[in-house]
Amino acid sequence: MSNELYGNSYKYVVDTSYGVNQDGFIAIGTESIVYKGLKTKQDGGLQFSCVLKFKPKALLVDGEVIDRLRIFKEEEWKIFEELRECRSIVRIDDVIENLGDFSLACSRTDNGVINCSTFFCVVEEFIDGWNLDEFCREEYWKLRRIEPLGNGLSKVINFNDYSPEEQKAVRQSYNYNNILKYQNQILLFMQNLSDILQFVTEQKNILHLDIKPDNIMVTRYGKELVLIDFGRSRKVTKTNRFVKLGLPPVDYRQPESLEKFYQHGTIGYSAPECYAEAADGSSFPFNSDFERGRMSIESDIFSLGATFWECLNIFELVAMSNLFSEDTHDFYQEYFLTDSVYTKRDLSCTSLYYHKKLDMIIRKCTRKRSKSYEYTGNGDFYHSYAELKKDIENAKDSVPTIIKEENVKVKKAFNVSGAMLSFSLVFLVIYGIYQLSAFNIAQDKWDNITANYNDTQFYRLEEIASDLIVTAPINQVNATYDKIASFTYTGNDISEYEGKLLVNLLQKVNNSSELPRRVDEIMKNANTRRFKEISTEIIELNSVDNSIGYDLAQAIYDVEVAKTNIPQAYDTLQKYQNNKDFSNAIIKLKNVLDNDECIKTISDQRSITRQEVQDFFLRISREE
Amino acid sequence: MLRRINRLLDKVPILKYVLTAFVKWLIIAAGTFFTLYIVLTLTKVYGKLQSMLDLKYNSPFILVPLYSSAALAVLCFVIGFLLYFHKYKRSKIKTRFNKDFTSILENAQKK
Repeated sequence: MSNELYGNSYKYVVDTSYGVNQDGFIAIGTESIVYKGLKTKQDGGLQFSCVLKFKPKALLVDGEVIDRLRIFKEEEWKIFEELRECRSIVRIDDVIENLGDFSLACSRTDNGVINCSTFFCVVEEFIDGWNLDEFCREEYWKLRRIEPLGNGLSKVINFNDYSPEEQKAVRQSYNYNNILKYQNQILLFMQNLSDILQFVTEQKNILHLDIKPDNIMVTRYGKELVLIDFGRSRKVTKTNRFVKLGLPPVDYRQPESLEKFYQHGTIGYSAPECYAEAADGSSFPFNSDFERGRMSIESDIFSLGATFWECLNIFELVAMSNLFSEDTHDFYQEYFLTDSVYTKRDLSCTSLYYHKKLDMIIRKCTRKRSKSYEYTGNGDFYHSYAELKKDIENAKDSVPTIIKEENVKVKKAFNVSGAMLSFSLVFLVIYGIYQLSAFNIAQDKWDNITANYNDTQFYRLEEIASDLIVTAPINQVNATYDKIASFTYTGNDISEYEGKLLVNLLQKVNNSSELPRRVDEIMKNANTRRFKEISTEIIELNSVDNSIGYDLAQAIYDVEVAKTNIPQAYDTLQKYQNNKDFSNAIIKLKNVLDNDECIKTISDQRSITRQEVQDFFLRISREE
Repeated sequence: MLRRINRLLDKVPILKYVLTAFVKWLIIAAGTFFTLYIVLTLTKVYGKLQSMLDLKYNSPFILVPLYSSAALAVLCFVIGFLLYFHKYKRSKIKTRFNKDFTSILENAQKK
């Protein structure tokens, strides 16, 4: 009896400092018991970590004895050797067919011992880290912990056995920021696993067929994935990408056992096509119409979707189900063997902070099988890891970042804002340059237009004149107005348009001391047939004191347009009757007053006879 | 001084995004306009263009880009801030899976 195992060039012992109960035990699978080991060269030297996988030499399946060692050597080992070049796939260091006098007490085996009579050993490299389930459950969300009991023993405490305070603290950690971080990590894992499986399936033509959280290791440093357990793997070819299921029919009313597997792979993760036909009157769990027992790349993709669906729902699953916390296999067996929950899984019961694109990927991976689901043209399913990776990449680009400043959309918005700010600054500078040289530009334009001016250019002239006044330096405003006014006075009388232009300019100049003189000038130069319009414009200036021109314009406007203040207009006419400078305006005022209605009003208001009024008008006419 | 500015920009990335884009586009835009002005002046096209388009300080060719770029700058800044403070939430959809899985979880919880 020995505790040492001898391989080709190393000897191995179980590392009893490792594990919950410090017995080196790591896990038990459907076909192996796994221990942490230590290897040393047979002639001594340093110790290195390794994994010792004890597998039964023979298995009894459906009453038939299967030579597990032969199958391992002919199939599994060859697959491992073929995948050896990939660092993301666990490596086999040694296979010990004869354990010699090695003996290890193990309560998990039927006869309570692991020895050479029933087991052979596969030595694999040790991955320092967690499997994906441990990573999500223990390392990330702290939904399980190991409590030391003393004497090298420990106890596993699940979330539901936590104290209320501990549960509250864990629930509080399930928040926006942590979910975003977790989502990013899961997307990285999905990408990493797709890369590995792309190499395995598309380059090496191997289907894994047992993708599940327990078979995916996460390295402690670097959080890289390593795929383990190729015990269910099958080779395919370029011409035939399908593998026929080799399981006998099972009675689905009986619980799954090591002798009677429901499926090729693991319950809860295997695709519906990996399930065995129903026997003894039981019914097949999935009722959709598809070809049963034909496994392909789509089966691995389904398992990938189911695996990450579990990772994304781990908080709800653990927090709400004791059964899931303690035994995921039993949970899936009891609740999940039906089309409505086994396929087309989504993220509707977990946090809404997970991105919809991630939800879409999970849905597409686990979509309910249809008759044509294997047809590569059917876009409802993934048929290659390249397609899946493209969608994962797309989701990675769309998910919100943890550091909000790193969000692509935020970055773009602020970048555009900065760019627009620079454009507005450039245009502001151009505006400033034009503003500074605006008077000179307007003067050039004025000179150009007045050199060959004709009446058709009036609107352009009006615009330039306005620019000249607006842009003129303060000390040049009056001179500029005078220049414009003198140009309009040259030649003919000013029209109503020119009158309006000058009034507008006067409003802009706003020089009260010069205003009476300038209004007088307009009235003196006004076209005799346009007094009504020009007067209408002038009164827009509102009361101008000491201006005869304004008084006359007001009187003409009152009588001719507003039809009011007729006696006052008569008074204005009397006041300025002898002013020779405004003779045209005076005649115009007389003319507008010389009618029966106005004469009657004047005689009534001023208590004079109509004849006296008419005589006054006659006298003015004669003087003209 | 430069080191202090860099430290501030590293601390406030939003400022960094705005300022780097601002400086980059300022150089590009100012360089483009200046080159264009020189070329047009040397080829004597500028004078014709100025009178043809009536280029002046309040011309729409200057005011429209000025106001629109200023408005866009403010708008993008506001949008950036809204996105910055926005917490992504997927819309809630009731699926068949949701219904069945919820009842599984409820059953499991009762047990």
